[in-house]
Amino acid sequence: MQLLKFELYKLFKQKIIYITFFLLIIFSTGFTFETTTDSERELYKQWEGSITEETLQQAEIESNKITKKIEGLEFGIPLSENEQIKYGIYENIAFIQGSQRNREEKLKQLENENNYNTKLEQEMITKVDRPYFSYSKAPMEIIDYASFYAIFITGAMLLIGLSSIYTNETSSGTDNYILSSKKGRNSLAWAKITASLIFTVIVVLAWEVFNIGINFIKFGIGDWQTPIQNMFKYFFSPYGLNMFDFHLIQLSTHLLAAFCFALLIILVSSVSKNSLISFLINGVIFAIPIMFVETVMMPNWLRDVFSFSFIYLMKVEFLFEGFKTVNLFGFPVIYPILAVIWMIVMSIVFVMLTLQVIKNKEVMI
Amino acid sequence: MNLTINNVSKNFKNKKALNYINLELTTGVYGILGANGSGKTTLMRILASVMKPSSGKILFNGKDIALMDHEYRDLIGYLPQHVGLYKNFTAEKFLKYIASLKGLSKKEANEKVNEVMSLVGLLDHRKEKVGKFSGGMKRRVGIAQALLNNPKILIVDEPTAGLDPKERIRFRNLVSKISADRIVLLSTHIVSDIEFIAKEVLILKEGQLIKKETPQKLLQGIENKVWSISVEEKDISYFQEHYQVGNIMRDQDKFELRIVSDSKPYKNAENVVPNLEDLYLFYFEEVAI
Repeated sequence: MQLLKFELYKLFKQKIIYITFFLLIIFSTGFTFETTTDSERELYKQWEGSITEETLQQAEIESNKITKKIEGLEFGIPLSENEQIKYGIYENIAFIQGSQRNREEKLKQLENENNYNTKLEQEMITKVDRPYFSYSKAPMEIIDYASFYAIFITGAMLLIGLSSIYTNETSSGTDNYILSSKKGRNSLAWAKITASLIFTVIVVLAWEVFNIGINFIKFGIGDWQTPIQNMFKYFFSPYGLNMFDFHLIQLSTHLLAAFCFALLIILVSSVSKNSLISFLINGVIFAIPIMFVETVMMPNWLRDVFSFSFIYLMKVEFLFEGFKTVNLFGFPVIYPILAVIWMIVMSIVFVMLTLQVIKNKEVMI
Repeated sequence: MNLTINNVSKNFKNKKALNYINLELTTGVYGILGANGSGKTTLMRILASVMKPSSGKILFNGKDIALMDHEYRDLIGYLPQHVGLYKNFTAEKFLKYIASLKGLSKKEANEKVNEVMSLVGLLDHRKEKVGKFSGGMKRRVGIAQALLNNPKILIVDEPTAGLDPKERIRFRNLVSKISADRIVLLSTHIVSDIEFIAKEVLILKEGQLIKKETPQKLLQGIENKVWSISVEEKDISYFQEHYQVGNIMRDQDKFELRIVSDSKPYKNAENVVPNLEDLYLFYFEEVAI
């Protein structure tokens, strides 16, 4: 316990982590601060609820009125703010209904298929909630933040905070005392691992507090019971999750991927000669997959392989955006389960390798 | 209690740093003498378990220290040649950290940290950051950390480097005081550090142990080989070129040279009683500090 306290002290004593976090948070705002007005929320309220044929027809009529107005407008005369909001609402309703239609078509298509995963897909699609419209800007923004800005914040904070966790001992010369002491190998390695995981939790909690705080201030609490299919990214998702459930899963998956990355950083630091080398190696491992996927043409299977890298696992998105499985002896394993197994296996391997490296570590300088 | 070094060798790429060292150490102070690159630090690192031998074994009371693992590390106190510290830690916090690494409870650590800080004369500086300490003070923190776990085997590599004469005397007295029930291995260039406290002196040369004797026996071995001569200033360079010259002392208008040589270097040369500095010169052909 004493060792853990000292390791935490050493980690949180680094001024650079506070500066980095502050700067990243500032940049993550995009230097904008839009808010919603009460009248906007009132307009949404009028349309809240399950989307029926009647709602759809009504929305179409209202939408057509605005479309006609747009077509008849003279150049330079804009729609009023209320009209713009209304137009957005009608488009949203049509989008949500489109998602439902898409699932119905998919179910029809699946009736004629007999693959190893067909039954599972049918079951999952059937469980998705009926289309439902409500004001859910805050949850949507919070989910978006967690799958975009958050990966850079977590990634950068772990790289800066943990890359020197072992190399610092080498550069300061304290490795002599550490490696020759009773608890300087195995026990200290566990203390460093635990301290790093606590650091990771705190980083994730810190940006999440900001994420929730800023979006609640901007958009209010919103409706968290809305299905994730209301979001553009999850239009084709077969997962019957509302935004609250999804965000919890998203956070947990992000945290697990961050743990895994933290353990890799510790391993690389334990074999590196200095902090810069450790930082660069870990940085490359973190950033290379997204650079490849975004810039190089590649087959889907290879893209999926890259998707199981730390950065995409922290992003979470790809695990839930569509129905994707692997065939494990005839049983379909959905990507989120596969990702969890993969991260647990990687974490165990990283911890075992680190313990082995530390057990055999020698002072060289 | 004994520490047995059994056929220990260490290779670094093309260089053999230690060459089949065999030693048996029991309680008492052992001084290790050797020139730079003789293998002193490598031997100490291996004994401190921060380096592994390429071949051979080290046994503590008959047990292989590689198998004893943390049980062995619990017995040792190690002061490396270069003292490493966390600059932003206070001396007290740093020592408490090392105490926790050595497995001391919080209560034990509090007591022991005070005790060792008092021993090395740093009690008044315990709340100061070690980054602001002088070289000598840092060295004293290093000595203090090595004593925290009351080690059975104390391994100190160049412990007095950077200490002022008063601190060196304090350290020598400290080692002398604590050596009764433990094995102390002390490597140094400063032969006066070990002259009066070492039970035995180990002489390492190019990775080989060439002597392991009491200081008295070692000195007996160079009796009749140490000479003192009085010469003019202009003749000094001649003797330096042809003999191993140690101390040079001005004596009014002449200079008194201390020379280590098998034969009488000059007709007026007088045989003098050898000391460990002469011994160092004899084996390493360079001037000891």
